[in-house]
This record gives sequence, structure tokens and C-alpha cells, in this order.
Amino acid sequence: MIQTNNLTYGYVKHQPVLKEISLSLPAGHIYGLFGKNGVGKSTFLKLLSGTLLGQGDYSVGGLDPRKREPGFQEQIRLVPENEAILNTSIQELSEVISPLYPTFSHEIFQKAIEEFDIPATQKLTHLSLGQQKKALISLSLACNTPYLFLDEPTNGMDIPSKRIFRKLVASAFDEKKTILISTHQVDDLEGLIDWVVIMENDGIRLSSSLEELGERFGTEDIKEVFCQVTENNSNE
Amino acid sequence: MKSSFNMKRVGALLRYDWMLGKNTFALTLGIIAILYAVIIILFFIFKGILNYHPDSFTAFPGTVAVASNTYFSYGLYAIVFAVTTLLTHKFCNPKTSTTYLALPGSNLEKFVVLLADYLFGFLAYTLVYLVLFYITMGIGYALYPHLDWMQNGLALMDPGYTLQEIPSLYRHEDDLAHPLMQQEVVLLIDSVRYYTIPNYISSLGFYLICCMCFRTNSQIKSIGINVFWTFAYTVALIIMFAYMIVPDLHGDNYHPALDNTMATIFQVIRYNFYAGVLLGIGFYAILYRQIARKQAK
Repeated sequence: MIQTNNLTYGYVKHQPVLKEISLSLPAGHIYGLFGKNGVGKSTFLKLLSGTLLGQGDYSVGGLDPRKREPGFQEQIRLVPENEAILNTSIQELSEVISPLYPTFSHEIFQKAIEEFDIPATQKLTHLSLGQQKKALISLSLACNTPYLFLDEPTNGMDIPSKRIFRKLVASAFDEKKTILISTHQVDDLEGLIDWVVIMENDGIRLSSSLEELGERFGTEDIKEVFCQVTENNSNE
Repeated sequence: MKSSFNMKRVGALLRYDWMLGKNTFALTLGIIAILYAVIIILFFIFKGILNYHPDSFTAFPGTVAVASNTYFSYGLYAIVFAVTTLLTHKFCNPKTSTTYLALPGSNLEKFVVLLADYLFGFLAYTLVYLVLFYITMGIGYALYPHLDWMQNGLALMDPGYTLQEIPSLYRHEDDLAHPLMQQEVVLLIDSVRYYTIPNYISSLGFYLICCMCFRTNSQIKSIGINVFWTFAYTVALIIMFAYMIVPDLHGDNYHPALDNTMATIFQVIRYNFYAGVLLGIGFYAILYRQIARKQAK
């Protein structure tokens, strides 16, 4: 369960990017986090992972991310949009990272590497942007943590890879897990997410399951709903 | 603040660091080794040339030795500082810091890993320094075997001497006859013990605090500040030596005021050591707190 109550954060004093965000995201869902540029989607994920320290009450799995306790960090895995590309291979990186995550699964790692067709022993710096992204996603899926936060995961991926991405995320998911994916590219998450969260400058505009979307907006098309929600907001 | 500590996690984090830093480390180690060799060979050649004219430069060889001592220690400290900060650059780089902060490990564990990185960097570069020092010392001895290598100006920088002893050491330099190896060992130990370690420790602490203050290029900025400081220190030393040498060109004619000046300077150096230790402790206390407050950029 992810719970935020008046979560506020700003990179510059008196200019909050996120202002009093209150949200409750139960476990067992794959969430799509949508919003325009600059509304704070990446910031939100960083706050939940404990790499940024916000104000207000918020918890992930009942633990306060700000304390950065190893017991908490073992349960979450964040893939930032601009993750550092290390001068090493994904195989070597997995060998170093795996002891830090008790739930790490070498089977999932091998499967993801094979599905994505990534040269596992080649240095990440020698791979293309799309391949780097796929390698890092494979590693994060293999960490097999109850909470997985992906920030713009499909950036730089080709169309077949996006399909494989959806398949791998779906297969790595179970009812005990929470996957939160932030993206601009709604189509890339089609058929994968079962819950939509739309952020605006003034906070969360919508948090709803796909089923509820149909009842409320008469459509389950996320693009359509996104346009309706954000247009309503600009008209207000 | 209560913080858990698990050696297995520390080991894994150290392995992660090594994986990130090994190439940079090996490359810079090689460059530094070459630089050391050039500097030390120049030092011996310089010392040899100066000793060809002992009548004109009675005080100068000792002064050169003193300057070299300072030069070595500062050179060592600046280089080790620059390179070991590369090892922990992950902590300051906007991209790598996000990944690193999210890795499982308590603040205490990450603090210990940072310290272990620094210690490793320090030991590696001290080893290179030692090996090259003795190799080039052999070359120097082979180049100028006829010189009086027993002449010792090196121990003069030892802050262990009392205020009264230091001026008398300058006046009666020839009495300080020690075996060459011994004096060079004294040079090395003094360099490391009295200058490098406190400077190194406090500078690294300072660097990490710069990481917290500057959003970009924190490493370059902190190294810049340190280089500026070293430069200012060198200029001060040059002025100091010039002041000391000029009246002494034609014999043993120190003025009491000069004795007092020199004594004061050495006293300052002695307290510089204690100040370095205190600064180091202070910086690391701040650093430990800052790890808990560090945020991704």
C-alpha cells in the first residue's frame, strides 16, 4: 500500500513542485501515472523511493521512505528516466546488485535478457539507448521487489520491444506487488495497467481503476479520459 | 540516530564501488606514477646541481629539501584527493546518486563504504609514492655518488622540534648527519604524518560538503578551491624561504627577528596538524548527518 497525506516537495524554497498530494494506492495493481511535463511525476516516484525527502506523511508498505532503512530499500526498486549508464555489463551489474536484494531472481533476469535480446556481457556504454533501457529494466524486474517504480520506461524502445516490455511486466506481476509506471506515452501501457492516476499542477486529478473509468467517463480509453480531465482542469 | 549495520551489505556496496571505479582508478594510478617519477627525478637532479656550488649556496640545499618535503606532501595529498573523490563521485553525480541512494544500505553502512573508499585510495597512492621514491632515490644516488648526501635539511620541517631548537638547527646544519635512508624515511613519514593525512581527511570531508552545496560540478569546484588554497600556501612558502635565504648567502648570520619568524612559522605548521585533525573530525560528523539528508538531483 502506498499512502500519501499532504505530501509536498519543492526543489526551490517556496516553489513546490508537488503540493499537498493525498493519495492511496493499494497493493496488487499496475498503476499508470500520467500528467503533463513538469507536473512532478518523476519527483513523485523519487519521493516514494526515498531518494528525495518530502514533507507531509507518506509511506510505502507501511514504512517511511525518508528513513532509508535497508528493510525498506530492499522492497523497492526505482528505474529513473535518466539512469546513470555505468561502464560495466548488465551481467556484471546483476552479480554485484543481487546480494543487496533478498528477492533477486536470476531466472527472471535471464528470461528478460533473452526476451529483449540484449548482449548481457557487453558494456552498457557500448549499447544503444533502447538497449540500455531494456537492460536496466531487466535488472529491475529481476530484483523482484514488492514495489517497482518505472519512470518513462519505454523511452527509446522500438515497437517490438515495447510489446516485450508489457509481456515481461505482466508476467513479473502478482497480487502482492505494486508497479507504478510514469509515462507520457499512454499507448505503451495499453492492456498492461489496471489503474490510472492523473497528476496536474494542483495535485492528483484522478485516481481510478479502468473499470471505474468506464462508468464515470463512458470510456476506458486512457487518452480520451486524460484529455477530458486535463481540459476540465484548464477550463476551471 | 539508530542505524543498522550488516557486513554482507557493506561488502556488496564496496563491490559495487569497485566495479564503478576500477578503470578510472587504474588509469589515474598510472598517470600519477609517471608524474611522481618525473617530479622526484627532477628533485634529485636539482639537489645534485646545487651541491656543485656549496660555497655560494650554504643554506639552499636544505631549503630545497624543505620545499620538496612540502611539495611532496601537498602533491600527494592533492592527487590522492582528486582521484579518490572520483571513486565516490557516484555520491555527488546527479544520475548515479539517485541509483546509489536507492540501493539497500543504511546511512552508517554507506558512510563506512565512503570511508573505506578513501582509505583504499590513500593506501594505494602512498604505496606508489613509496615505491617510486626509493627507485628514484637510487637513481639520484647513482647520478651524484660524490655528493655529501648526509647533509640533512629534511628533518627541519618536523613540527616535533621545540621553538628553541629550530633556529639552532638552521645555524648548525652540518651537525645533523644521518644516514641517507634514514633521512628520507623521516621525510616520508613526516610528510604523511604531519601534512598529508589531516589535509587529506579534511579536504575529502570538505569535498563532500561541496557536493551538498553545489548542484553541478561539485568535484571541479571543490578541487578548484583546494588548488587555490595550495597555490596560496606555496606562494607563502616562497616568500618565507626568500626571507630566510637572502641574509644567509654569505654565512651564519641569522638575525634574532628571523629566528622568531621561523619559529612562529613552524609553530603554525605544528598547529596546522592539530587543526587538520579537528577539521577532519568536524567534516566527517557533518558528512554522516548529510548522508541521511542527501537527496537525488
